[in-house]
Amino acid sequence: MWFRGWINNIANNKKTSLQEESFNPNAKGEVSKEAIVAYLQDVDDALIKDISVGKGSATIVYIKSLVKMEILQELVITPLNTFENQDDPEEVLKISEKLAFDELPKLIEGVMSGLCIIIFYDRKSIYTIDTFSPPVRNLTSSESESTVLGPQEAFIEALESNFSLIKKRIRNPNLKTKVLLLGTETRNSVGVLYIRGIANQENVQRVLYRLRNIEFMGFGGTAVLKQMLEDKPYSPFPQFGITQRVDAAVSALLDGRIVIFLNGSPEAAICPTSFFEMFVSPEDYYNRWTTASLLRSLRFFGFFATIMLTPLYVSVLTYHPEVLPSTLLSLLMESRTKVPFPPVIEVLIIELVIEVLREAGARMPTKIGQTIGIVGGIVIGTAAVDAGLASNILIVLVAISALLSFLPPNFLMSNGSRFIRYFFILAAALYGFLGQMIALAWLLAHLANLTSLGSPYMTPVIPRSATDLLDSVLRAPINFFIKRKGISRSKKELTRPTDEE
Amino acid sequence: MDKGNYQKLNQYHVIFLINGGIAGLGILTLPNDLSSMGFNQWLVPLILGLVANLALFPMIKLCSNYPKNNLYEINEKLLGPLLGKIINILITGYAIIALSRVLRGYLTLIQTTLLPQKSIIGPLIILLLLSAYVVKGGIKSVARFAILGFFLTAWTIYFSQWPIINGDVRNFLPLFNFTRNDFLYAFHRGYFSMLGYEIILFYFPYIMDQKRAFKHASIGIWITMFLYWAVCASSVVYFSIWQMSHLRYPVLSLLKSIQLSFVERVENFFIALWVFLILSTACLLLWLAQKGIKSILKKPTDLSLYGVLPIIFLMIKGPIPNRYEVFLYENLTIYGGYFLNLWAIILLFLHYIKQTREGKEAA
Repeated sequence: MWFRGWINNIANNKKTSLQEESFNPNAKGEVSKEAIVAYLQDVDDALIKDISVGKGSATIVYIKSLVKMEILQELVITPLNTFENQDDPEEVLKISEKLAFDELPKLIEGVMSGLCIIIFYDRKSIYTIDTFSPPVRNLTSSESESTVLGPQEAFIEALESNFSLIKKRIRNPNLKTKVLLLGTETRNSVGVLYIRGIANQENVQRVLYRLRNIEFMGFGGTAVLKQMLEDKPYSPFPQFGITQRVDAAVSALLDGRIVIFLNGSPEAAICPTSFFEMFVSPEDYYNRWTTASLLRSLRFFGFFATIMLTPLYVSVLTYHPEVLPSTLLSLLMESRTKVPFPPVIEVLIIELVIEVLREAGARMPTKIGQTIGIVGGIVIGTAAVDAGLASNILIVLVAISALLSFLPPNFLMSNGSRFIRYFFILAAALYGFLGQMIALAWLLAHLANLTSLGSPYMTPVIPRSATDLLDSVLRAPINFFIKRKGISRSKKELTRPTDEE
Repeated sequence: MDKGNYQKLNQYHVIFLINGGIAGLGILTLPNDLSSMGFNQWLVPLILGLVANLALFPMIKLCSNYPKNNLYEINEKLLGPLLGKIINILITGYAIIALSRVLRGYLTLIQTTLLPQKSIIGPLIILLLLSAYVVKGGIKSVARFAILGFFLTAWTIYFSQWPIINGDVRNFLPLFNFTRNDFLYAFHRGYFSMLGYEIILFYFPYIMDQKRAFKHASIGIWITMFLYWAVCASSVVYFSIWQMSHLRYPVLSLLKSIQLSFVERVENFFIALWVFLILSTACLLLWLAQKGIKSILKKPTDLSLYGVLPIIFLMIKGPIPNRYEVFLYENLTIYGGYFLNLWAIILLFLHYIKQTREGKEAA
């Protein structure tokens, strides 16, 4: 895209190079106490202290906010107290690792990631002990993807806990966990999980390739990292799934998808993901298949209803009043008698009011949120109709479409549907039914062109493999699921033996 | 945009590319086009399908001899660069005119029914940009759009029950009361609605399973023929002969017979829905035109796609006198279509002549 070049030009005019200032852990440097002090200048929670060990002396370096006192006592201090001039400190520091004396940047990186470092000057040896123990939130249930049935624990902001949440459910050595350090400034760890033999190796390589090629200062959350990995960053739709639920991540892994974690973020990105899977909740598999099918069709067709409902009001009233039977038309006209705006302005105002209400509710402290609901729903809604600013029927339609827009379990898809609705309203205002259909054609052409990790995002009606239909809008009973999804492109297609072996 | 393998069209893509290329504007006017046959017109789609299927045969034969080349390249190979380029320019011109005809016909319909008070310049620009957006994704994107277009519109065939209930089924009896001239006239006018399958000459190299392409393309033709036949059959049942020969868009009147309790005049909605069929035809023709321009240029660029758009805009909205318009859109397109059908046979002959000559030289 042309504007990317334009932005790069602006950036290049300011003469700063990323490489010069960022920290490179693979460089060489002689270790000395002065050098460490110089590196950790103004890092006031760093502790650099000479201690006496046995008959000699050593220097201990760690960051106080990353290391808990009990851990330090147990892993470092107590063993060192038993050290009495043996040949090798490794005999007491059993789980330690050795560093060479010219690896100063690596030492600093270790300190910054919560290692405790002990330097024995007289022996010319450096030992690192993993004492990383930052405060971790307790496991809670997910607030954004709550379900009635099913496991309730959700991912938290610590990578290791998230790994253990998954690994306690999949006890299989084929579950691979690749950890990369990403972010030129943050150097935070990113975990890539997949099951070897089930996940398509090409997909795995593609994810790792993309991850290794990201050069960015750091990521606020998985959603930011995900946007940098996606195929089409300009699209309003998410191309990778994102979830906080452990069961969703586990079933994705079992289906041959790849799950990406970012340390410090409670979400997992799932790739590749198809358009339809944005409307699938893990609860669909806990429900009976009949209920699940009903709810899925509500969600899926609700997406199209939410982008079509208010535009339909606009185009019917502006261009095609003849499609309504006379009773319905007179009902509509009566409710609009006092409204001084053309339908499109009326619809835009009310849609924006709903959007403002939603945003206010989301930003406000929870205790005030309920008040906002009452103010918005009753005061604004009724008052707007009484004042003649909007018609009754429109309020009903806008409320329904707002509710429908919250049906997709994927939050980003729900936001995307609300955004594109404005295009449909404008298209309806311009050309009526034709405008709506052109907008729909554009939407479908866009969706058909999207890819998720190189696999087509949406199949046009005809599924990639025929068994996908059993887990689509119709969720067949579980014993019908004999094959993995087409989009996984898994080498091991069957999920169970199909004959008596 | 999918930049995967070179051969990227699977069987469904082929079926619905054929269907998308054929079904477009034609289905709206078909009963009127075939009206010289009177109540026997439902026979014509079957014969049209048969002829199209026969015409497909030499095309597939020709393309199978050049599995990696489209017709533009085959032209240059068989006729030499200069003559080949001239033919390519002609084909590109045909594609542009055919595309203009489709969009112009649809927008005229829109102006007379849906938006009588609006200028069609806006929809025209939007449709052109949308087709360019689809074509930019390559032939696979066009194919996927054609599949969507088919499934979003084909269900309207369900509504043919209303005309059949309200009409007179005795009209449907095959009386064969027509003359040879009646038939030939209907065939000629109906073939407009049949053109579009010949574009397989150009996307054949992208087909994965080229050996079975003929089968898939035939399925595509007969799916379309079934839709045509259903439309013709329900209009034969519903209309009188006079109505069929005087209604310009008989299908709209068919849709007007639909009676639902909660909406009236549903044909408004269906005309708008038709944009999917129009677009799948338009996208395929635009893809053909931009390929043609690429084959003419010395250095092919992706910008040729955008070069086509203003030409089509001027073709539709430019100051062209009415008699030239009639010549362009009514005569040139149909004879261009006949020409492409025959051209495949001519090239096939040329190919065999060249092959035997090369065989002799080698011996």
